[in-house]
Amino acid sequence: MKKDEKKEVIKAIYYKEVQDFLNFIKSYEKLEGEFTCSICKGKITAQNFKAAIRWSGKILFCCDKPECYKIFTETTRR
Amino acid sequence: MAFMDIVEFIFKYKVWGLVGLLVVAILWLFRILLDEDRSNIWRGRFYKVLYKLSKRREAEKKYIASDVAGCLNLARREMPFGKDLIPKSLKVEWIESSSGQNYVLKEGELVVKLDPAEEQEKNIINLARALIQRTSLIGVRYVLEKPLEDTIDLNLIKNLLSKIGNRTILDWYMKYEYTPKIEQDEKLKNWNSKIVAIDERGLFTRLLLVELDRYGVKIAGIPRSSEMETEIRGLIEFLYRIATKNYGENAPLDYITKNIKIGILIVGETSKILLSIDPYIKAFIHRLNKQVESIYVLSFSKDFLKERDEESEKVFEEMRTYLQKKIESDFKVEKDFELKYLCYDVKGRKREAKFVHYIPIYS
Repeated sequence: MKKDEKKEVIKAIYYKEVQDFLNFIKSYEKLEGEFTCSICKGKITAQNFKAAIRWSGKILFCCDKPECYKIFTETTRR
Repeated sequence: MAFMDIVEFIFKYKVWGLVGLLVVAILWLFRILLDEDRSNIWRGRFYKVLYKLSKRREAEKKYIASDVAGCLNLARREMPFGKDLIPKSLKVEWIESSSGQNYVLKEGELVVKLDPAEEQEKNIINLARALIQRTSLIGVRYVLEKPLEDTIDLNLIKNLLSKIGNRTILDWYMKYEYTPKIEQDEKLKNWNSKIVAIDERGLFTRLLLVELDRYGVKIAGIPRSSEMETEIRGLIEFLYRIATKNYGENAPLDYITKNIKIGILIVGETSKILLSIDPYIKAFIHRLNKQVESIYVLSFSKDFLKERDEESEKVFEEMRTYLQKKIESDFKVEKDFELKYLCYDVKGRKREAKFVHYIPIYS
């Protein structure tokens, strides 16, 4: 087995804990109004949340539509 | 060893048979414990059973995280990529939102919702995609045109998922992601046909990605230019011609631009190498004279010769080994890696290929 220097850590949210996560972000980041998907601009809820990333200081959200998630991960490639 | 063989073994050797089996079992367990990825797979299996029995949240989370990491990390180890491995190894960390341990996102950090244990295949595909897109093509993504970047990602994800060995996962990915994505874009389709041809000859992860990795290091901090785009496009065309060339057909074996300087030696013609290795040595010197920075020696076994001319096949293998020894003893080169793999030639015959990457040292 080859030894690796570093692992890629991906933070995961358990599907039953999404609401707590969104509530925390809302209060910590002092965000107002609804969260929207950065790709399709649809409303983000605990039911349709798929991913989030901090990008240039801002938090971007993505809904669970497969096409949105694909574009979201593509546009946030390093 | 089949179950009946084990029973027979125990009956034959009695107590010593049992002791022997116990030792083997302990060694097997140690092997798993020392290997983080294999332990993850077993941990995942354990928590899956626990979750099925108890339906507890903690068991489900531990199953999902261990199983995804174990599957993807073991699969990536099967992907040949020079000395290093791509993508990087994965670690899934839960954000424990329910217990009040809230987590502040750092710049560029991705948070993904993972689906229930019953939909684990989806979790594996989603994280495979995120892993490939975040940890491969580092340093060159900004140079690649989007359809090319996409097709490299798609094929890397396909390769990674195929190494998991779960047909359902691969089929789902091919049906719902890979094929539709390729079908909807002509440019992507065109690049994809080239990347697939290169991959079928074993030159995708072993050469193209190795060179793109080296390229990324070379152009670090330099703004994107049209020259860079042309260089990479040219590299792919160069490899595509080699991958699709017919027996006896000529294709350029050097690719020399400002930032990419590679030479390839293909040891294929039996009649040539059986006479002497000199033409290959001369070709190697020729590449060194051109100051190339990478030389790849690709040779194919001649197993099919065995049936009609066993002696020639034997001599071919000896000459192949002799050529490699001669290169390593006579020239100032660093052997970066040597990989063996199976592929199909243009006539559809299964061939064992040997691929050696040398980095010349110019003083």
